[in-house]
Amino acid sequence: MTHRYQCKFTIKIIAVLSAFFLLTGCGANRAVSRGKTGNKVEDTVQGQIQKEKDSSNAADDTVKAQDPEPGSKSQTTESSGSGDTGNQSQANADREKLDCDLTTMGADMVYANVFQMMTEPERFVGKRIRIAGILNVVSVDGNNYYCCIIKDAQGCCQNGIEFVWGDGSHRYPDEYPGENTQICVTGVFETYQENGGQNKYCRLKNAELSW
Amino acid sequence: MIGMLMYYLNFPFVQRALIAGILIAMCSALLGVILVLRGFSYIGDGLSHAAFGAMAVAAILKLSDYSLLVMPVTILCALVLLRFGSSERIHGDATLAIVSVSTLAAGYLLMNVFSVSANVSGDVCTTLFGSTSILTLTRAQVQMCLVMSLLTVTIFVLFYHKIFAVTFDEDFAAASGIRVGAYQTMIAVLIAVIIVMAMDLVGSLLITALLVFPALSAMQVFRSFRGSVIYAAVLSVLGAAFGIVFSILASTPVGATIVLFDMGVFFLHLVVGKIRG
Repeated sequence: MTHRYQCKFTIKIIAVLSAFFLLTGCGANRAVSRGKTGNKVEDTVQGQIQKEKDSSNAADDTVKAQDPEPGSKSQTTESSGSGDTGNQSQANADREKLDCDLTTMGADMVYANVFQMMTEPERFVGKRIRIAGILNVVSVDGNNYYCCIIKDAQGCCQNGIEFVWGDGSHRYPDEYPGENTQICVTGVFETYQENGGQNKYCRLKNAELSW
Repeated sequence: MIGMLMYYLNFPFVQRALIAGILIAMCSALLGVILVLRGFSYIGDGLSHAAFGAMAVAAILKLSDYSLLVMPVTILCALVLLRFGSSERIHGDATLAIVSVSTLAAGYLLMNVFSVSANVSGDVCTTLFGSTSILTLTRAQVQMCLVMSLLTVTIFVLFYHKIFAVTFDEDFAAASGIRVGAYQTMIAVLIAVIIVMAMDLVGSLLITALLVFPALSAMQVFRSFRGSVIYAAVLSVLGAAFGIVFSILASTPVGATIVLFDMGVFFLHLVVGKIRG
């Protein structure tokens, strides 16, 4: 009797667990589709980056200044004068070299990497970094500061890096995309201080911006 | 997937997260068995909320190292709850409830009113749920974690028999000449220390799971105290390592991933225990 009761109880437990795993399996599909949605964003960003690479490779072959393609909004920042092929080649080589590509990582890793950049900036100075996120513009004392904001997996914690698009001559808001637009920024990490202040800031200089 | 994992493992902060996570998980399991056997399974929640409140005060005071305030306050609360928690008017579980909710509310209120951060919600969220906090540990924090973990394991090994006696039968332990009060104080302090460290791994709200699930899982298949403790530590370490790795690959919150894995392991052991009888 006791043995039969134990068997029945065990069968009930297994049935409940099976139902639980089946339900979580259904939920996992939604989670996967959410993940697929996230990957779609990454795919879009990667596609635009590849477009930019292809267009810059075409410019290398013909040694011409880049002309923006129809529908493409990416800009290069190398301001070498036309005809200066040596500097152009060096700039193109620099553009290809990437020390840290955050666009290939998951949300947790991106957040943690940006956190490391803020807390140990000396390890990243001079490194070429690519990050994808949303554009955020902050105005302080009449100066605009442009940031690429990323969120962690839960979406409640945000972190980001300031960037300077090219030589900083691009006009806001005419040439910039709208705020909260998904962007991809590639630039060289540096720290700087303002007006002789003590605070040290981090940013990506000579950045390439695409969206 | 393996390639991506190997790439991620090259990052120093991932290595630090794994080291700290494994150490914290191991120590949590050791003390979790004691708490479960003594009927204090929910003490982790109360102490973690007290630590959260202390952390809020430390943030407002702009302390460079929060643990300077958080650790002593949590230890004090642990002593109050575990050593002097019961009185004729207020029973032990009511004292726990009072400390738990009042410190959590006070901490959240202080963080909002005297905000020192541009993202209060994010700071609160990551402290309560430990979504990425284990990935943002500094080298100094990992070293402290290592020291505390070594201390915990050493004390547990050296005083194993006395801890065993105090856990199962205080009267017998006292009659045997063991200073029950001193060992209870020592256990309370160790629990407070582990809980403060575990907040970085799973967050304040999920600490109880880290303490309880491995212990309960082990008790389903082992009948001896020693076996339960060792097996609980193994399960907890595996859960923490798997949770951290899975979360960075799948971009899920670290704390919740670890807890869900521990929960799954617990249900599995529950079934095994029922089948074995």
